[in-house]
Amino acid sequence: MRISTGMMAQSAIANVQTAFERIARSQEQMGTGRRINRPSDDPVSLQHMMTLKNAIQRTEQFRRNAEETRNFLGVTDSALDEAMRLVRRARTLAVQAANDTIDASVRANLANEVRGAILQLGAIGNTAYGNRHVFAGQRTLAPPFEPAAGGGFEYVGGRSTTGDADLIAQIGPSDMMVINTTGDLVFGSAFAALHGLRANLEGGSSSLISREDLPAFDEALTNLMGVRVQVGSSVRRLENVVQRYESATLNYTQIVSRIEDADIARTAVDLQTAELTYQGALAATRIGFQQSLLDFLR
Amino acid sequence: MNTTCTDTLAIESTRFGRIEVDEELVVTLPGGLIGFEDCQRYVLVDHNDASPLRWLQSLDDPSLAFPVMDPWLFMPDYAPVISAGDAAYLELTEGTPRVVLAVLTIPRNNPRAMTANLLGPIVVNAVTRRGMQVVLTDDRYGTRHEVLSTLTTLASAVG
Repeated sequence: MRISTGMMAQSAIANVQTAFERIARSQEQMGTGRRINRPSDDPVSLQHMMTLKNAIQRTEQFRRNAEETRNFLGVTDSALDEAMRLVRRARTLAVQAANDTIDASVRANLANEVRGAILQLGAIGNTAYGNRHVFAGQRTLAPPFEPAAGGGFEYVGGRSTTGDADLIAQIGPSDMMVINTTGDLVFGSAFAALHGLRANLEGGSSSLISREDLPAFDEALTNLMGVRVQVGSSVRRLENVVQRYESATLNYTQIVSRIEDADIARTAVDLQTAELTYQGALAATRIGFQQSLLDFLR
Repeated sequence: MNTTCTDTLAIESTRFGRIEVDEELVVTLPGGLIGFEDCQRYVLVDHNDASPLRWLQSLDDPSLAFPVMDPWLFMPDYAPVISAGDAAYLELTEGTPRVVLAVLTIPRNNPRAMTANLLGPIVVNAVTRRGMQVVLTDDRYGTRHEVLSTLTTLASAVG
């Protein structure tokens, strides 16, 4: 829901209305308690202060965790983006190769390109954030894709079957989230599609390429897209968490900062002066506007 | 946090002394302010007649008072978009009267550098008097928006 007065304040007249309406509205709708005449220094007790300072530290720690996690997911997302581009490119090769009239030397070149793509996908699967491999499950320290015989890769990272798949980040006192998807689930279908295409190019089978490989690439893309959507929603959740922590820190800080009577008095006066100047400028504009309207009517 | 909930609506606030409040003027934030989830009942207090500065004084913890301000007073085109979930929680529809407050951060010994949190406004349904500190997902607004320099810029732009 958009909370505004329903105008974008493009014109000065809109500004005038908004500002004045807002004052009137919040006064009449909200009503207030007694006005204050004697603010006092240091309203927060020492004990209370300690609690708040601890809260700030805890909050800061969770905020750092959340930001770190967001970066981890950012790296994950870039890798997925790269992988999708690679798979789309390989799919266009498959479309080319599905054509019967293609000659053997072109076919050999395409097979070469696909072999290169497999190596690139292996490198993407071994993407690391700092020293943590993002697609390795809990086995983050080692690259999860190891070169295997026949120009492919073997996934050696954590898996749910071995109980070391999930990386969990604590982003709040009781708020945990799984932040990864293991490489076998992310890239398995893409590797399969690439290997299939390579084999069919080497075997010279155009009909198998269109019958098997093209659908395999589509499946791989759908799978990668699904993982990316999950990552995106985790990132949004984390951004919300980070922003929450920023507001919490500000709320705490305002209470802990022990602003003094003199500062408060100056705040009130400074705000009043700046507001009056602004309202004065607005009022002048409104008069100008009305005059020109009258001129127009005359 | 130490909170004592009482039924009486006269509060001996630490900063402002005794404040008496009509029951109908109490604002309830069932989720508290972010970081102060235990303190749910507040009253909005004018600093004085002339200044836009106001205070959200906790009724549960006499030492808690947050300086707040109507954000439209320094940002006329402020248009926070709250999620459908938050709107439903607050029972807000397009026409529901509401009050929006920005929490100010006033640096000790340097009040002219005061900032307003426009990313985490307090939105109150003026009919039910229930509200919440909303977290916006909006890159247009920040948590530390300079108030006085904005007002000065606005005044010179208009004048």
